[in-house]
Formats: sequence, structure tokens, C-alpha cells
Amino acid sequence: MAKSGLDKAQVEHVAKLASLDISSKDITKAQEELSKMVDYVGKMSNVKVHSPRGDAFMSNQIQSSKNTIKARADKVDSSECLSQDEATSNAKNKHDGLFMVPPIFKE
Amino acid sequence: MIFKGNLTINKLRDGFLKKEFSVREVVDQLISRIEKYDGGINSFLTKTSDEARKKADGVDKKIANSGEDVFRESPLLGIPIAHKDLFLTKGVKTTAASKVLENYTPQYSATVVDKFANAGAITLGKLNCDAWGHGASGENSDFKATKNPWNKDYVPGGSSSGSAAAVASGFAAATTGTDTGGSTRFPASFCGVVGLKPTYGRVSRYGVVAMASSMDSMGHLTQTVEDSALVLSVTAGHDEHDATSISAPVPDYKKDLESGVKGLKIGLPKEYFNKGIDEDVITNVRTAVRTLEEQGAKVEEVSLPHTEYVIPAYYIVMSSEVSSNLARYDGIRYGQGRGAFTNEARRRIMLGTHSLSSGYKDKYYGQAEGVRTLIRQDFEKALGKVDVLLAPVSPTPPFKFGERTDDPLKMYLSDILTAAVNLAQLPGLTVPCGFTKNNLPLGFQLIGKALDEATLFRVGHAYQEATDWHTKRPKL
Amino acid sequence: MIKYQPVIGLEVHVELKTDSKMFCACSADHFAKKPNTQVCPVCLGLPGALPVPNEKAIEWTQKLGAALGCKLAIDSQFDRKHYFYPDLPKGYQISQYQHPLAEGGKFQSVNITRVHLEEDTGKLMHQKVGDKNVSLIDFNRSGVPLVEIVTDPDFSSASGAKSFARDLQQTVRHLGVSDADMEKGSMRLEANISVGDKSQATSDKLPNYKVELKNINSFRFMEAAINYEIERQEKVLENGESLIQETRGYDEKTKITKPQRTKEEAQDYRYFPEPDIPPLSFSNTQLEKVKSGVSELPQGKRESLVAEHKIPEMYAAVLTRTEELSDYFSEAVKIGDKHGLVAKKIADFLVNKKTDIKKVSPEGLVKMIKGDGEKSSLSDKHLEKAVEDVVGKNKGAVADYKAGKEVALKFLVGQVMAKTKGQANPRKVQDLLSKKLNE
Repeated sequence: MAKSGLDKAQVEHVAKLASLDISSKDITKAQEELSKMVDYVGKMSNVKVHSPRGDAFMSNQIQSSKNTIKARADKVDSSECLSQDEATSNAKNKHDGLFMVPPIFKE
Repeated sequence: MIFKGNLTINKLRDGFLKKEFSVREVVDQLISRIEKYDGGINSFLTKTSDEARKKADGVDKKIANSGEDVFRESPLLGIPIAHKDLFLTKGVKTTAASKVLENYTPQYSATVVDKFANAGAITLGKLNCDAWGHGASGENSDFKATKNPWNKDYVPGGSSSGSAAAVASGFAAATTGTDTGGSTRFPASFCGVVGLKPTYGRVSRYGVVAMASSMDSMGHLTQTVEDSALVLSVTAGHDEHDATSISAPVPDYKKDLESGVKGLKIGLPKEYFNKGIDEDVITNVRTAVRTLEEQGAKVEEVSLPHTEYVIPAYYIVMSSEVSSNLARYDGIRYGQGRGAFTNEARRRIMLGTHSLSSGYKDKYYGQAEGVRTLIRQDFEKALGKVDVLLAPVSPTPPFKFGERTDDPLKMYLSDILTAAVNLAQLPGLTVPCGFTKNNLPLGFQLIGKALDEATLFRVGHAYQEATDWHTKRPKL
Repeated sequence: MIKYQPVIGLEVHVELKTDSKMFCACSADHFAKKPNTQVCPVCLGLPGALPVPNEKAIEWTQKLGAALGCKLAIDSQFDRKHYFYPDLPKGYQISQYQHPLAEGGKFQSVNITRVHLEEDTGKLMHQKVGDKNVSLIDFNRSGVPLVEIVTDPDFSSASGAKSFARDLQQTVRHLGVSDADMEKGSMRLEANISVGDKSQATSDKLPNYKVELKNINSFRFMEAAINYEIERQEKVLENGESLIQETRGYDEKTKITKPQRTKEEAQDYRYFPEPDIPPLSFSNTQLEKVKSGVSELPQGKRESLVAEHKIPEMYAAVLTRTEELSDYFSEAVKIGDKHGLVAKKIADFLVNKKTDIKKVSPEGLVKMIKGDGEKSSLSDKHLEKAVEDVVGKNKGAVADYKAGKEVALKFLVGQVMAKTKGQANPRKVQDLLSKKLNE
């Protein structure tokens, strides 16, 4: 069976997209694990399916339009609204009711 | 000890009404029991004993003042429960069993949590699980792993490990779980309790840490099928906060509960009984089938031809949605940041990100969604011929700690009999049906048509009327 | 010397002025509110929160799509667009990718690629806290509905793009779906610019790169930035160098475009259908209703006003700013006609005198213009006082007039008109002023 493994650069790319740090010593293990999984799931690539496009409509929702109410009326409901204290209650860093992060250089 | 025997809702309610014991007494007893035994089981991550006692006192006053009617208004009045730590509980630490959220105190509660509270239930605490719901054994908790109360060398199953162990141990009458690939049905089987995965959308997902948005089902574990039906009456229903929640009315699950199985057609998917499945498991499940046949059910073989593609399709769709749902954990508004994610979460994020990435999306995610449609059609066809399907839950009996942790793929294969039901968004119910030679629980699952939990309860209850596996409890 | 043809496309974001946000019931009126006070689990991206779409935002997007001549989709869907940024709480934005609410339209001879609906991000501010540089985030704006309008690269000049943007702004305001205020950020512009040689242009082949221009805060700056960019690109090509795909920002102070922090590779947004929101589907009846609800567009109305009533185009532009005002004008013209009042006079009055149409009825307006003064509360006493005040406060102009500068009188008349909020009769004012100044 053809191996569809990933090389180190690909693994680094995926980690970057996922905003996960992988140390150089972990990258080999990550590469092995990811390659093995990718290989395994490749099993289904020979199944004939209708339009294998990742942007196709979600076809698997059990809800047809009859069964779910998808949208809501345009009304403000302040009962769900959080106070500034509640909103920031779990933040590691905050200042004057604002969430604080290291400086982002304006692009 | 003021309360003896199985912790069922009926027995508790009876006792409250007949004044055999008060709610406070029951809660005190359970808190002591948990103190005494949970150190060796690790089902609880957070205990809310003070609040529970306070609430119990309030409920006792209510019962004294109002009498029997109050139970009709509040169907779970005084019933001790606990929530899987994926369910957000306002003001009470919710961690998802992950270091990322080890200090997170939610600013709101899940709809299901509110429903239990409004029905009068008393929460004893938050239950351990595989971190983020990722796992089939409970070994992926970032904190201590939960043990199987029947034998502490064995895993309780996951990811709702604490939820199953707590019911089996008699710590609570009902616990909540989630089921994305089998995470309620699987540990229910390993712990010898009843576990329900409702139809996707039947119970609101609002306020529960999301794993795979198109499959997460909010389930629960109880000692009996009857209790399971009662709990679903409380949790089911449309929620305006969840756009995927089903608006169809909630039926009366009690109505057909006692109707028995005479004339009902049960289908056995042949792919779920093949040589890949442990012999003891198959023998045991076939015995259960015979019991139901003796009760009047008709049994026939059906086929789910795309079964061999279930795990690959499931893992691609699930990990894609997981990678997306875990993107919010950047450490800015809450949590410890992405460096705190541990191995299994990282694996799934990586696999999911890769499956959705440019150049690979059609091949992996697109293909998996296509296979998913075929799997759903398999079920539609099979369930078109019968009323319900019956199959084993786990390809093997409960396994020991460490047996599957060296190779993630080995662990993923635990989902082989449960994950298809999630891909097809159908309901499933685990019913205990015996023990292995070394006294570890075994169970079977019923798989129903969409929104037909009533038939699952009917068949499961009929089985429990004819057997007594569900009355057995481990010696702690 | 080879002649170059600019190839320009626009991307416009318009903030809808719905009451509530796109996916939750928080107030969408976020401008200048105390930070992080209009947030909830959904727009703050808390664990377990789920989006529920705002049906009015969907309807208004369809309305806008229809007004731009687009086909409205029978089946549409939301998608997740993934990237990490501190102002994006979920790590993805709920937007639309493959199945937008509207596409394939035409407006002012420009092809509209698509019109879709998405949610806005939080606001990032950069400042010093203590002695450290930090970034601060306010999520009040997070989740506010945004409509994105994308054009084909059909523009060949900056002025063309500017006039399109202006017309688009007027249309959006006319529909009442957004304030489309560039200063307040409820309308945002981005331009994609490339330059191809003339032969390329005729062969329908687009240049193999494009420069994205961001940080454009006004129409004027957009025009300047595009013109600068065209020139810059032409120079590069003339030097025999090639241009790269990049993002640049316009610096208002130095009046040049500068490359923004280059990302090593293009963003991979990993779009996939939003699993928390089932696909949307609309009946033909629903869509027809939306289309019919879009009354005659300002541009068409403008043209018919000019043709029918012989009023200057500039006046027509003002009078078609809102549906309310244009309806009012039509009504006033009808009434004015019965009293022998020409439309031009009514238009002149409305445009120059800033009449509050909420307080004055079309009948009252006609009467006012005719000088009946029924709705005018200006007494002779008031007028005399106004004249006195103006003369007292404008000693310089008085001196000028006395020195023989007739124009100073006109200035003083204007001052009295302004003081009396246009309610005085200008001839009467002139008479009173002349009398007073000649005392």
C-alpha cells in the first residue's frame, strides 16, 4: 500500500496553522503519529461517493428545514448579557475592563 | 445507612413521599459514600457538597409544605445527580478534564444543567472524563484517571468515565454524559449501567464544551431503562440557543414503556457480529437476543455494508470539527493557552487541521462526508425493514489500564461499533446484559430510528423486566 | 513606451444596523460604549456557546443583493473561516464561502461577484499600560452583522472606483440597512489593484498578481491611494521588474502605500460548512417578496427627478439620500403644483434651508415657500432683533459695506438668514439691513 506520510515541513506547517508549538524533539513523533493516522484514514479513499467536495452543503443534518428553527428575530435580550466583570472574570491579563495581550504590531 | 439498594428515581421518590428518609439524609449519605470510596475510583473532579446540602434542605421544606403534587411539577425533585465536566455550571469550576481549563469558572450554565436544576435535581459535583471527550477508556484525563468500580485494574471506558463509574458505584442516581463516537454508550457497557445517546439535536448542546458539532449528543447514565426515559423527558426539547436543536415535540416516553416486545422486529447487523469481535461478547449478546425472542420479538439479520469505513470517516469528520472547536482556546479570555493541550488533543487538532487544509480538504474531509452519507443510507435501509437494531457495544470486554495507550489507533478502534450511530445522528441505548468470567460487565446496544427513543426504552425495559443484571452492584 | 491598463476591484464591508448582533441577542449598537459590556457567551466565544442567526440580517443582505442586481440563492449556508487573531474569539469567523446569499449582479455597469453575510470581530487598541506596550481588546463589536460586497476587477480608474463607492453608499443608506459611515467604520473599503499591459486587457487575461490595499478611511484617500498605487506599479514594470502579490496600507500623512507585514504564505482559511447552523433554504415566494420590497433605486430616482422636474443633478442627489426624503419631495411637488410653485423652488428650499421634514408637512412647506408664513413662527420683532444682532456682531462686514463693498451686504443677509434658520424672507431682510446700515 502506498505510504502517504507527511514530511517534517508539512507537519510544521500543520502545527503553525493550528497554532500549536512543536519542539524539535517532538516533531519526529508528531510526524510518525500523523502519518500513521493519515495512512489509516486513506482506507476510504477508494469508496465512490457523490461529489467529494469539502464545501458541499452539509448533507448529514438530520434536521430538514421542517425540524429546526434556524434563525431568530432581531431583538435585543439583555438577560444573556454579561457584565464587564463577568466577561473578564477568567482573563489572565486585563486592564480597565479590556482584555490585555502583548502588543500586536499594526499591519 | 438510611437508604439501601439501587439508587433509582422511583425508589427515592417513594421514600421521600412515605417519609422513610429525607432528601437531606440521602444527600448526606451519598456525600459520605463518595468521601469513603471515590478516592479509589476518581469519578469526581469537583464536589459541590455544601450547595447540595443547602438545596436538599430547601427541597425537604418544599415537600413538607406541598405534598405529592410537587413531584409532578418537578419530576426530578430531590434526586441526586452529577454532571460530566464538559457541561458548564455557572460559578462551579468546569475543566473539561483538561489543564487548559483547570481554573475556569463559567459565567453561565448549560441548558441541560438548568433543566436538571429546574426539575428539582440536586447536583453533587462534576465528573471526570477523558480531556475534551477524547478517548474511550478515561485514561486521557489530564487529572487522575477514573477506575472501573468493578475492578480497579480495569478502565471504566470513556470518555464519560466518571459518569459511568459514579452510577455504578451508587454515588448518584443519574449522571450526564456526552456521546460523539460512543462516549456514553461505551463506558455504560464497561460499568454495567444504562447509557443513552439521544438522537442528535434532541437535547440541547448549548453550554457544553463542543467536541464534534455535527455529532455531539447530550446523553445520560442511570441504573435502569425506566430512569433513563424519565430523565430524557426532562432534558429533551427545542432550545432557542441551539440552532441544531429539533423543534419536533417531545413524546411521552412513559406511554409505551411497558408495552413489551411482542411483534417488534429487531435487526442484527451482520458486520457487528463478525470475527473481529470478541467471542465472549458475541455469545453474551446473542443470549440477550434470545431473551428478547422469548419475550415475543422477531429477529432478523440486516446489513450495514459500509461498516469498514466507519472509523476512518468518523476520525476525519470528528477531528476536523474538533480542530475547529478548540481554536477558541487561545488563553486570552479564559484558560491557560494552547501550550497546555496534552497529547491526545494535540493529535486530533493536528489530524483535523491537516484534513481541512488547502490541497487536502476534498480528499479527506470531503471524502469523509461523502462516506458519511453512505453510512447514513445504510442505516436508513436497515431500519426500514425493522423497528430497532441490536448489537454489541464494544468489540472486546473491558480492558486493563495501559493495554491500548501505546498506539492511538488501537484506542480509536474501540469506537468501531458505536461511531456509526453518531455519523448517522441516530439514537442508541446501552443495556447491561451480563458479566465476563472475571466479573466485568458486558452490555448490548439498541439503535433506533431518528427521534424514536421510545422504542429503545420499550425494548430495553422489557429486557430488564426479564433479567436482573441491572440490579447487580460492585462491591467497593 | 508600453501603455498600462489598471485592473481594479473593490471589496466593501457594510455594518448592518440591526438591533441585535448576527448570532446572539446582544445589542449591535456598539459605538462608544463601555468596553466589554455588550457581550454574551456567544460573541465572547466562551466554551459551549452556539450561534443562532439573525433573520433580519439575512433579509437585509438579500435586499442589498437584490438592489445590486444579484441572483438570490435558494440554498445558502454559513461557513467557518479559520485564522488566529486576538480579536477573533472563536479562532474562526462565521462567514459564507461557497454558497453566499447573493451573487452575479450588476451595479453602475460594474459586475458584482457576490454579496455575503458574516460577523464582525472585536476591536483591538494599542497603547501603553504603565511602561509597557500592550494591545487591548474590546468585544462589544464582536458578532455585529457585516455584509461583504465584492466586485469583479472591472474598474480601470481610481475615480471610477470612487464614484461607484459613493453610489453604493447612497444605495445602502437608501435601503435603510446601514449608516455606511466611513468615519465610524460602518462602511469599509479595500481595493485590489494590478496593472496589465493593454494587450492583456483586451485578451481578458488578468495580471498574475494583485496588490490588496487596506486601511482606506475615506473616498478621497481611496482615490489618492489607488492613483499612487497605479503609478508605483507602472514604474516598477517600466523598470523591467515584476510585481508580487502583497498587501499594502495607505499612509495618509506621507500619501504613499507601504507594504504591510508580509505573511510568508497566503492564509489557509480551511473553510468548511458551519455545523452549528443548518443550511438555509428559501422559497421562491420569499425571494420574490424581498425583491419586490426593494423600491426604485436612488440612481434611477435621481435621473427621473432631473428629467421630470428639471432640477439640478446636485439637488437630485441630496433629495434621494433617503427614501423618506425623496417621497416627501414628490409629495411637496404635487401640492406645490396646485399652488403654482415649481419643483425647482421646492428643491432649492429643501436643499438649502435644511427643513426638518419630520416637523413640517409637505403642505406646510409649500405654504412657507409661498411666503404665507403659516408654519413660520418668525415675527417682525424677532426679525428686527436678528438684524440688530448680526449688525452688532459683524462690525467688519458693516465697515466693508459702508466702504462700498456690495458683497458685504449679501454676507450680512446670509447671516440673518442663518440666524432665523431660513424662515425670514430674504428680500425683507435685505431691506431691513440696508435701512439699518444707512442710519
